[in-house]
Amino acid sequence: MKYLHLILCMLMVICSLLVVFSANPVESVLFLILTFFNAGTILFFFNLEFFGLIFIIIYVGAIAVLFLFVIMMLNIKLHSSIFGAFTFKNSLMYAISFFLVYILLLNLYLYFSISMPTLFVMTPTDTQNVLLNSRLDNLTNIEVFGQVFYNYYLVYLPLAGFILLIALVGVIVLTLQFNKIKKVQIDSKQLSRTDNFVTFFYNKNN
Amino acid sequence: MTNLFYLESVKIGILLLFSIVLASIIIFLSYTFSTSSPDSEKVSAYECGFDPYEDARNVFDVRFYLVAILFIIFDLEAVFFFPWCISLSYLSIESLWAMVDFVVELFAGYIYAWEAGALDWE
Repeated sequence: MKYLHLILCMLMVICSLLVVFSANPVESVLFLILTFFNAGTILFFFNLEFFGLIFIIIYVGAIAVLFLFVIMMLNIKLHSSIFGAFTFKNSLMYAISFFLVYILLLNLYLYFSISMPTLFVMTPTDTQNVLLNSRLDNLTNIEVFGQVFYNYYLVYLPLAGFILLIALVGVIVLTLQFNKIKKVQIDSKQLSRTDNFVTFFYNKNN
Repeated sequence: MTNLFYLESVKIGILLLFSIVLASIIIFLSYTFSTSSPDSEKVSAYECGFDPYEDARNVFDVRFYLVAILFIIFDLEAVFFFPWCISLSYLSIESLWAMVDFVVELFAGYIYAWEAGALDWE
């Protein structure tokens, strides 16, 4: 339980590396979805359950779907590997690059473990101390977010609406063919039809 | 995390762990105990014995992408709705009118999408 948070972070790094280094484009998108799920789960551990769920709904349910549609549109058939062949000549290059990445990650870990030590190990006492020192109420994440965003940052709400409106109009202008002949029903003509037409021949023959 | 929150989310965590373990066991068992003799002819396309004339995939229709983007826009509107609905009793009157403004903007976009024919399939 103490190291679950660290395991999720490492899993997220591995998944995001596999997005780049996987053979298939579809496999890349699947690992991207796994990365987003990991990000949403990590947010759960910081008492941000609303943002975690919104990550999963928006990132996985909408944005990853868009990525998948782009890959279906591009119709890539080849399986390619970014490493190529592991020959003796290449092995020195791979060894040096992995060593450099290891040094970089080690420096990052050193920096963050000194300045923000609670990032790596989240015991319950740590979070309780954080809560006691900041004197938060017993509110859930949605209530806190609602009370702050819709009170103090109210100007961003219509702006977000404008951004969404621009996206809506833009995507319709870009993808829709406007001069198409459409077969539609005219409702008023259908509803104003009387039974004279139907029963004309019936009454005449009887 | 406080104890009550931890208790609620541990139940979901147990469900998640159980489903991952069960799926892994099933996949692992079928991987180890099955015979596999891979052949490139097995995965090639079959067209009554002939070589395939053309590609099996259709041209991807861009209307699927339009439907996906329309979904994400109105999904984001719903996301903005959720915290507002929950914390409405604590908010001032300006938040109501800002939300009405937001809804009116997206309602105008919705009417435009309807009349332009983006919601028809043909």
